[in-house]
Amino acid sequence: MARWGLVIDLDRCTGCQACVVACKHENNVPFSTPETARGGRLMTWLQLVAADLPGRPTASALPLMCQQCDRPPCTDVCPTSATYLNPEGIVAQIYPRCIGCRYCTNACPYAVKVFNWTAPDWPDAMAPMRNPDVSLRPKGVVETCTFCHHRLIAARERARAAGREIAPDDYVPACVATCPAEAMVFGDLSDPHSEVAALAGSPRAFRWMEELGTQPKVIYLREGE
Amino acid sequence: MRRLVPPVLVALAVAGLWILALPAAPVDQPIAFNHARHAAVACAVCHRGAETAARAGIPQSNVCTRCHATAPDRSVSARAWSDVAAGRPIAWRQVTQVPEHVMFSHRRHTSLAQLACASCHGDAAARVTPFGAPATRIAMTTCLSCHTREGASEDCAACHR
Repeated sequence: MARWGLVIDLDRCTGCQACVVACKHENNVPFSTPETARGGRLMTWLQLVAADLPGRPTASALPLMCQQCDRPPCTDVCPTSATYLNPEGIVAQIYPRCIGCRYCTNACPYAVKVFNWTAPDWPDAMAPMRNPDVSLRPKGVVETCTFCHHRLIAARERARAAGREIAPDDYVPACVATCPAEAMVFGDLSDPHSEVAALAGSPRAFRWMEELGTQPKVIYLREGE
Repeated sequence: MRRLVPPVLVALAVAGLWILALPAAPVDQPIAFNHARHAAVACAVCHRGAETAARAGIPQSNVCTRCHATAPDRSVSARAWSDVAAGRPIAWRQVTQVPEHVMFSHRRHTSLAQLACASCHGDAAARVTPFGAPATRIAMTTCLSCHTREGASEDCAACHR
């Protein structure tokens, strides 16, 4: 069974935010305005946050999405099992089960689970650009990155239709596919020959807030070493 | 008189729930399409994508005119046929829909899992009138019973999106 993981090389990341845009576009994440952001209701599954990393004179821009923890605090508190760790290590979010209690948003130390305060509202002109593989979440549920799990489902189907096993390049999340600096590498951490597994073992590798014991599967590579 | 109030309220509640539980009224289709007369043709010939894509298409005029050079018979009105012959879109009403939060792929179920179309759409080959309502009621338990039996994924995220 695969164990999907993501490595982000902060030395390569230019902070261009192409991943942020790609994520919004891929996952039908509604628009937010500066007003909604100021009101604490920013809707985004991936954003760049300023992080003070050891040995760096200034704050680094850290692309932060669901860290896909192996010990996720969010799933422990969900009263309806709407969020759970699936067999491949992806923290899934099942919207029809979510009752919007927001226990998970409070339990997540990374603050990457976002409550949907409004019904999906898309300009008519943009309706054809919505991704049909991803639902429009109703008001009152919690949303989060799922490593573009719908892409895994589609990749498996394509591979089966072609009569072969899924290849490493078949499934990559939208942020990874978009990153112009190739700072993101995605793959199966359980495969010792995968690039992502090799990078995860790099001396530059660290996990955000790893001291909490959440065991994230998003791994960052330190800058400037 | 007061003794009558509770039974009347109960009767009204039952009547209300019964009305709510009734299936929606069947919709009228623009052409009285007879599936039974087309049963010799595979479903995917007209419903393109039913075996090769996530979504199965609903046939448009060009699909009809590939075989029909003239109006088929009296079941299609002259006006409806003139629209078809002119290549204008046919205003079919889609009757079978999966909920917004479900990710369903026809290819995965038909060509890969070898599931018959009739499993979800009923015996279309025996129908002489167009579908005005879904032929079968599909609930999550319907999906899961098959997934369990066939050893398909029962992970929630495999189908929920």
